Amino acid sequence: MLSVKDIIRGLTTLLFESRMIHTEHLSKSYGEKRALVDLSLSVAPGEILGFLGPNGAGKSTTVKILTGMIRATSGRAVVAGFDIATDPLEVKKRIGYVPETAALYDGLTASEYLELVGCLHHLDPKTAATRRLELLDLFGLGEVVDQRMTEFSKGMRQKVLIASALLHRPDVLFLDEPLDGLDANAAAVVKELLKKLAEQGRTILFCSHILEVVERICTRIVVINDGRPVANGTAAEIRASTGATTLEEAFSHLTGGRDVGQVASEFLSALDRV
Amino acid sequence: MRRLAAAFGVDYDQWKALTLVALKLDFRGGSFGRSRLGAGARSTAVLVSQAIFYSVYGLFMAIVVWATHDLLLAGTVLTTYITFMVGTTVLLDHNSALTSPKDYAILGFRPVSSRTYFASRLANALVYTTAITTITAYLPALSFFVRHGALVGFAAVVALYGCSFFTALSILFGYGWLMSVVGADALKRALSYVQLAMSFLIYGGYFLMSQVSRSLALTSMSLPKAWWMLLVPPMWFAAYLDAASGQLQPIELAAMALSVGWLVGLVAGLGNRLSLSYSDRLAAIAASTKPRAANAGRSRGGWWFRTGEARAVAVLVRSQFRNDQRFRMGVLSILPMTLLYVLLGVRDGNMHDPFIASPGRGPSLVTVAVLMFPSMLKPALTRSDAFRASWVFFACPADRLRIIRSAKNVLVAFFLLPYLLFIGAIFLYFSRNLWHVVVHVALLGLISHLVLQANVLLDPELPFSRPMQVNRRANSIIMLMVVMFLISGLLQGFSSTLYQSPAATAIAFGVVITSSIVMEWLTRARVELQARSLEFEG
Repeated sequence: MLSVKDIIRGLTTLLFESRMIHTEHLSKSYGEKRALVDLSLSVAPGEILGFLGPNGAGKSTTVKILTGMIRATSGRAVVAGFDIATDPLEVKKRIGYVPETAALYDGLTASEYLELVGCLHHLDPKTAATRRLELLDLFGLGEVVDQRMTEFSKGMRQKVLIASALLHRPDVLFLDEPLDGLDANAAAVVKELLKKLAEQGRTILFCSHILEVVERICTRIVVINDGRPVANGTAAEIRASTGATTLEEAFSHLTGGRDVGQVASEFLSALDRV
Repeated sequence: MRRLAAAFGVDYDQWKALTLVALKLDFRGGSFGRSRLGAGARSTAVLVSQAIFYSVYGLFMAIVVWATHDLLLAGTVLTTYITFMVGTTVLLDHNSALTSPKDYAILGFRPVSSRTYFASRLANALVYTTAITTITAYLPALSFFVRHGALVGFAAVVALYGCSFFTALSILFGYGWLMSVVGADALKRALSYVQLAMSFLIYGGYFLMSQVSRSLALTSMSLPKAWWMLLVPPMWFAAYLDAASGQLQPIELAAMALSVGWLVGLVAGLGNRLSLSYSDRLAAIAASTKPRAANAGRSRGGWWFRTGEARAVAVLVRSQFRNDQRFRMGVLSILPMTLLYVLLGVRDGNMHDPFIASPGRGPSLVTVAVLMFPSMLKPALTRSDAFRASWVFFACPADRLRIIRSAKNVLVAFFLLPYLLFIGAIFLYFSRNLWHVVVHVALLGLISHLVLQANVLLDPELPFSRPMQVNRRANSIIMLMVVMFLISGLLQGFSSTLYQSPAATAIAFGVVITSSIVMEWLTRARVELQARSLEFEG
């Protein structure tokens, strides 16, 4: 017997052509300041969407709206078939999120933190215990599972966050600078892992400032600037549309970046003056 | 339990997991020390010392209960005391239990309903207040059992826990209600005012009740069963005792009805609208970015803190007071207690010319207030949610001793000096002798400074460099109060000797100033020693 929620979810999925993330004219304002303006985008299952923009462009605001952490001022967002405004809990059950800041309960051990996450997602305790030990082991944290995270390095904390985002096997992953602090080996593992997760049909929204990584792993890229989308396509399409030879050049062109050599020189002269 | 949670729309498994984690973090947070070895043992030791401390108070109350003939009076004194203890704990240690968005970044995207989130926060505060009530009240309750029988004893237990829940829920409801009616940007300021108002209510009520019971000569008198007594909430719960002993009159019935009605109302209020929109309100607070009006021009450190470490600390303290809700509330919550001490001092005639002997009087509450004020502020200046930012003190080529000394001087300049001027003005109004007032207030200020120095010597910490501790502040303030009462009593006893001649007064000043210099020297030695092992904790 289908529940009303399942029926609504089915209809919504049909309506949005199986898009796992779908936004329509999404906007967010903080008083007078408009952090996000009229963002409409769709991400299909199995897609890794690179979500780029300069500092303060609205990337984290978008992710926070899509994960139900803040409410949009206007517009609509549907994640995993559920409207985030009306069904935030259903969305949250199906997503994994690695926030920009490594927000964790420092006083807990890595194992305890993942146990808490398992409880919040109503995982069977035995399954949760097996999964958390496996995940922590895969990330090379097997020997420190019972150590409090106050003593963890930034990279170790990031690994715990990624493990906690994967613990409940979500359909959609929101990753805000997930490679931040990771060593080269761990970063390589995570990049490979993301590709494999996408192959399994999971949807990933990937925010990063490391453009080479974005170009290498993302199937499509959306660039936003001042809260507005300014480009949407594959890396090759974006390069072609801006006449740039690299994604870095294209990004600079789209976001009004100045000549880096000139800016650096201005910095040096300013330092000499003061 | 699961059914009860479901009835309130709370997910029991999530609630239990969140509450246990919060308690675990509090327990560990309290032991977040320089050495991470044996942290759990240290926390246990602190908890045991707290249990002994509250039990001693409980023993005193048990004696009062035993000696008081009137059940309603004994019950009201005890429930007033519980109101004070629980109220102080909630106001000082759990004032942001509902309103702080600190873990929203961790939990906001998890599938936790607003009600479950709210219930876990509420449960965390209630666990502490219940524990304090239990430790404080088990001896008085036992006293009721033995003295008045099992039924009255049982009624006392119900009354004490009822009153404890009433106090905690009322204050938390106040904060929760404020969250739902005030915009996120204005909330921080509004919370400060509410904190101040509630502190006045709790301390004022306690002192009013203590004065009433003192004037009634506790052991031989009865509490008047007048209808105005219904204005005193602790009396509502004390009425259970009268009812259990078979003395059920209309006033007791009305009091009991009020207690039950109010509790039901609080639970219903917390369980409905407040908890439904709780997550949204927290999200709004977490996302609140409205900038406060900045000072015109450069940041101000005060003309006496012009350069180097002193200026850095002064700017930091000013800025934290403007922007850090916890710090501001920590400072503001102290004002009502000290101001009430001053008012009671005025009422008791302690504001006379200090050079004139007043034999037979107890410790001056005004002196206690002056001595306590800066030492009460010191923990607020040391412990902060932003303690990780203190790396800057470790990474910069700053002199640790100068930073610690500057933090103490900032307390003196920004808080103690204005307070002394205020006290001086009151003394002057009553004594009309400027010279005597100047000498007395200067001596009080120097002694208060000496007490603060002793505090710094015992705990020489950098400003805002240690993590917050739960349930320690109220406890330490009550302990400090006891010590300051002793010092104040000594001062009162020696005041006639101190001011009998200019030479005696000069000697007194000399002793205090010399002690201060010695204290400074000891602090320097301690800080230098400590600097070798102190590490950044973030």
